[in-house]
Amino acid sequence: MTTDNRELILRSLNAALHSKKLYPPGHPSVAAPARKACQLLSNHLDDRGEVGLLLVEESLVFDEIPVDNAREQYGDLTAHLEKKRIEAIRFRQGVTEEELSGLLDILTMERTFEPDELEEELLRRRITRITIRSEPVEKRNMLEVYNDAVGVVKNVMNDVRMGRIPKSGEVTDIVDEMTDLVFADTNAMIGLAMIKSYDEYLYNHSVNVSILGIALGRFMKLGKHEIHIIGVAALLHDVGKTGVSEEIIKKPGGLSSEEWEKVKQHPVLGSQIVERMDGMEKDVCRMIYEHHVRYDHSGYPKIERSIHPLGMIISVADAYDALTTLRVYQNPHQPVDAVKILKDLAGRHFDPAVVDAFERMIGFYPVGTMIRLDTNEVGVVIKVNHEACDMPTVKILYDSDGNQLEEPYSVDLAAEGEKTRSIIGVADPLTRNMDMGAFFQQEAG
Amino acid sequence: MDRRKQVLIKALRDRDEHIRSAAAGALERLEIRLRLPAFEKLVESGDKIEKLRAIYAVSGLRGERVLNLLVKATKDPVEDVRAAALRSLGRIGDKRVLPAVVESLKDESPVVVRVAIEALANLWDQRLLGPLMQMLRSKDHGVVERALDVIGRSGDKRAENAMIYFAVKGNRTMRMLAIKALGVMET
Repeated sequence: MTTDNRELILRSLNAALHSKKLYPPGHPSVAAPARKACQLLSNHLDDRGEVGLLLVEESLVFDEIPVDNAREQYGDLTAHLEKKRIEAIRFRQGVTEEELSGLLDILTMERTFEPDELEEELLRRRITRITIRSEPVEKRNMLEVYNDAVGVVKNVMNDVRMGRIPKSGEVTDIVDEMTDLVFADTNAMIGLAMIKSYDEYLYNHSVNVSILGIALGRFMKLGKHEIHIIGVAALLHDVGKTGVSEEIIKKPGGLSSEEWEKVKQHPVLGSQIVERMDGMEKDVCRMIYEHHVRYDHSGYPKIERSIHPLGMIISVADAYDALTTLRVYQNPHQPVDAVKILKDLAGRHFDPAVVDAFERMIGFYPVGTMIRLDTNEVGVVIKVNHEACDMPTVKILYDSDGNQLEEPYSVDLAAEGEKTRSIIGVADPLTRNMDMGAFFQQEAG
Repeated sequence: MDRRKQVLIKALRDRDEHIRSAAAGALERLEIRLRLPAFEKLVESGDKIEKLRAIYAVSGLRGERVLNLLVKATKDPVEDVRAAALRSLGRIGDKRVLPAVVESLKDESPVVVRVAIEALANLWDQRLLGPLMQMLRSKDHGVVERALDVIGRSGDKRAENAMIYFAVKGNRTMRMLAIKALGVMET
């Protein structure tokens, strides 16, 4: 292959990628350069059998020769490779125009792929003469993901307020990221769900309900797809409140009957909004519609059919987060007390099987519970222990004389040598003017 | 205080589980009481959230100092703080705070007035009928609905005419409350 041919192939690939930003699929401005690249590539592969396009430490290497000024000359190509974290693409003899076009589609898709997902995507598209090697997507810090999720909910609600239809992509992507993190460290994510915002309650509440829903779905051993739709529906469950005046939503007291009637419309409004979002599943809309319908079919709106089997997961997560949040009309309940309230309402408001699973998942002393030990030390539960439910891992914050520790430390109450300390009761963070959310933010940071 | 604390701390390791649990609860309340000066300071000069936390932290306690702190908070410039303080006073149910809660019926925020009326339900006194009857003239439906509810539950016959009026002229909720009240009212 001559230098000119290499340049022509790269130029054609770059032109095709550039045109894909501007024109719809199948447009001649996309198809022509892709066809040209394929012809040139096929000719060369007839001689060489295989050719590699590599991104080595930010430099482009094509057919084993580094490409000068790649970033300037082939900006779209290098940008797409970097964005998708692709290290190498190998083309083998016989590559077809359809396969090359499929590759270009993959490179320009919004979503990012894990290496195994890329392989699956190539197989799904029946691309057999092109292989891609990519780096795994770097896991982001939990707090970063949490804050981004709050941002996503804000964007969605702002779009609705501005009369725009929110985009589904960022919702599904952030739910996938949260799901990965819940699977990686459920305790830490449930800790982050203790972050509450008094003035912007709705945003954090939506994220917290999503985290708790995903965690419960995982605990109940649901499938990946079911967990995903729980996460999405939970994140958007209160989007209909954008249709209720903010003055009513933020009212620091009981509502009048007319105001209450307006608030009761939010599940219907929410499902109507989400229905218009691109690619949102019907199940998600239904779960949003039904999230205030109780197990005994009281609540609102009135429905004749049975409640969606996954809907109760959102209702339970919604109630738990609401109960553990400081509102003007409510002293925040300790997590232990919130679970007791859920249990009292099981069979009437909530499905007893879901409450039972939630109780087992969240633990006897849930993450975020402030406890007093028999040594009179006071700490916060940071990790539940499913084998010995009354012996979680706690972070000691106050010594036995009640002095706040400068350097708090963790104790696994079940570990050898620690069996001399035991939890006696629950303590109140309010007594210590403590913000539990800020504590878990620090833990995650 | 130290002697009390020592006894309670020792009881945390008692053989009897119930004694241990009672000691933990008592220590918790004792610690809130020990921190009362700090809470008073927060209600005086903290931010909104700190004030709310302080109000809810002390609302499980009894005594004049706690009541004074909460009454002070009913005059706070922030609507949410006033509402939370009134709610706590209602829960405590100590009639010594009656004048302060009645004063809050004149609050500029109808939402705070609604909470004040709810609090009065727990502080019921025959003398409250007059001020509550005044609330039935409010333009805010939430205020009227709560006043109807509290007056209706009192069963005071002096409210008969008002209840007859709202049983016919009110919105659905008002009519329901007035109709129920007419059934339980003294004859």
